[in-house]
Amino acid sequence: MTIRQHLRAILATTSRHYTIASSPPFQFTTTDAGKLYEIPKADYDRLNFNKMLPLALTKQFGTIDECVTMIRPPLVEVSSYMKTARTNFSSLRLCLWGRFGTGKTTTLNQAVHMASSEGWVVVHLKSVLSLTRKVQEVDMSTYQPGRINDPMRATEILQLFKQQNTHLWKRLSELMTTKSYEWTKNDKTVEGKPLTDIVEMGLSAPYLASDCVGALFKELRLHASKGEIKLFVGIDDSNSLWGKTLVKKADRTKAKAHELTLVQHYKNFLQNDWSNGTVLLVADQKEVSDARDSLTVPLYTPLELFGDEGFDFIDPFIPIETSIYTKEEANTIFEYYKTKQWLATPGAKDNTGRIQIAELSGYNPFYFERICAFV
Amino acid sequence: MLRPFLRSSLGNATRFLGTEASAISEEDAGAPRNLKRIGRALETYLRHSRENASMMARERADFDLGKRHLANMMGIDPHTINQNDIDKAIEYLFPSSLFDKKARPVMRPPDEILPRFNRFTFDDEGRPSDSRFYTLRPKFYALLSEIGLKTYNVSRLHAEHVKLNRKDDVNDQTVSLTGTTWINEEKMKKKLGENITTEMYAHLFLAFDYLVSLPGSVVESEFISQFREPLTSATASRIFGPEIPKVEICSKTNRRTATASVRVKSTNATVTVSDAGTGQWDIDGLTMHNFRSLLAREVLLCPLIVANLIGQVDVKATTVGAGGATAVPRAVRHGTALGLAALFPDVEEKLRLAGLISWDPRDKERNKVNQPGARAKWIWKRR
Repeated sequence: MTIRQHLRAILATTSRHYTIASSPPFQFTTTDAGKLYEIPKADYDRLNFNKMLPLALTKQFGTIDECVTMIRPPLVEVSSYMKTARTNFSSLRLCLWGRFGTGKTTTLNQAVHMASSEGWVVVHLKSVLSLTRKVQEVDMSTYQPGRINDPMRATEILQLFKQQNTHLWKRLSELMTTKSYEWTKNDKTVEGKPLTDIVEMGLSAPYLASDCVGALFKELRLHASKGEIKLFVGIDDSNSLWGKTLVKKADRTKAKAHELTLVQHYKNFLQNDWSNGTVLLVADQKEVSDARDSLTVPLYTPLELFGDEGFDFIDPFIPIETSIYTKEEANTIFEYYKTKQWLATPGAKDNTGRIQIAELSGYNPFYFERICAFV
Repeated sequence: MLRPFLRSSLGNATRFLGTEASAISEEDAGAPRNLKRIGRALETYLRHSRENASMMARERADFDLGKRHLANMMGIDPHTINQNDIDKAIEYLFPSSLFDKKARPVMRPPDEILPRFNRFTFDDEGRPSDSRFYTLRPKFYALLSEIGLKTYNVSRLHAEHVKLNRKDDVNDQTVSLTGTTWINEEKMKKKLGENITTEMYAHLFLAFDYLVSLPGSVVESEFISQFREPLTSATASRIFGPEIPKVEICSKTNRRTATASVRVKSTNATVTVSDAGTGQWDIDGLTMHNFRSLLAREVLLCPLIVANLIGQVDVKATTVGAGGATAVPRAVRHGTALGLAALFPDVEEKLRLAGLISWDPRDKERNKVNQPGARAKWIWKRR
């Protein structure tokens, strides 16, 4: 055997057994499904994916030091619907649904990256549950009596919006407000001021932030409809917009979700009155599952999770189901983990290990990754 | 392979005939000595035959009486006691820790355990009635001839069928052999009642194999099925442990399945294992990844890993009762192990050594009066 043959043999054994997609995310087609692609580090940081993605996944990305995810059929489906966005066509509502761990949140984040890298303005919410169940301090709305503001969360929303759209900030500052906003007697944003002023106003005065979020969202919808920007709205755990809250009112009763200002602002994206954008919702079983009960397997279809009221509200929408890995997908991700030493023990790396990991996880992406993390 | 054997056996037979012929010729010469000797041999045979018959009758009577005694001792109805009850009673009355199962005490009908007496039939003049008597293995050669005749018949029918260009597909089919295998040498010996060599068994095997390979051999399926047995473990002789379920063949999919009913604590599960699968799970409508606990998934997969059949069988289970986080997977595990043992007899020993075949008899301990639980006590306080 010559040296060249030797080298070729070595190369053959060390070459990758997975394929990396080369086209930009928005151009993915069904033939790309099952391939891997990388989200650049700069985009990962700008979109704050370290906080937006599930904890287990960010730990893996941190250790491997790159954000490589798989193109799965739901992502291709989302991108194909996003391509239909235009001014004379009402915004589409897409709803991701599926079993626990099958990639609803990951697909949402991938879609956010896809939209952002195409120059769309992105409004991204990690979880509606943070608006309804993790409210730290409240004050009553002055704009609409009976509404409950959440200044801390509203500030966070504005901050995230500013961070995720940094690369479009110049473009956003060229967009002008369509009407005057009188926040208080002293604080005003008159008509024809840059849109970014509303964000800055909310960030500098947290007690105005909740109203600023509403005004910002409304202006974004108007400008999208005019065709000046394209708007992508991603709302995780969106069935909680009609869920129960832990916010207590003055009379010690629990507030309803529709009484919360921020919930109302996000619901306004689900109307048919704007165009040139896409709303991606996630129906998640967190809302209905009991943390103390690990045995019951809750229902997971949009009708059950949104309830009658929520379902009627978002209807018509396009359901997109996420599912467990196929055998080929599991093999691809296994080869990737093997190359990146995410699989550490020798027993896990051979064929028997591959089959056992896949069967033990039931081909569920979440369990698959978790088992690979410790074998 | 057959030729040297035939030569030797035929040689024996001719020698035998030769002796007789010479005896007759000597008788003609006026010396009846040899005929007398043959007559004595016959007499001895007849005496042995009578002795054996009376001995067997006595043994049978003893067995029946013993069975009644045993039934009385064990409190079973003597009229309905069966072999299974007897085996259990003997195991109970004479517990044996001997390793070899053949060395343990047994009580079985004398026809099963006593050596068989080889009977011949003779006509009035003392000549054997079976024409193959002088081959020394009349039953073996009769079977071989029968296979030959059937083979000829099948090929003739098929040839006719081809010649007439008939369209009915019965005459084109070969006999279906899925889920069964040829009976082994020992069983063949028992079936024929003759001592045959491995070489002779191989001849039968070859002849049968050729017969079943012929198109149209389905017409002889009834004859062939007499010499085949299902691919299951021998459950009849098992005394210890739970019963291995029977293998059934699905008429539509032609897949082999085994269904076991098992219990863990208060959970009853009916588990069906099907071979030639893709690793599908259906446990009360849930699949593998609906079990959130890794422990539960490991428990479910355990028998498949031990048997090295992961991803090759499908498991369907329904459970009844108050199943918890571990009881349901444990019940399904037991049922799966039994199903695998039925479908793949080779792995039964492996599964047994892993402790997956035997039933786990543990149960919840009852709560005690004046205590908060089975063992827990209220905190003691002086006043």
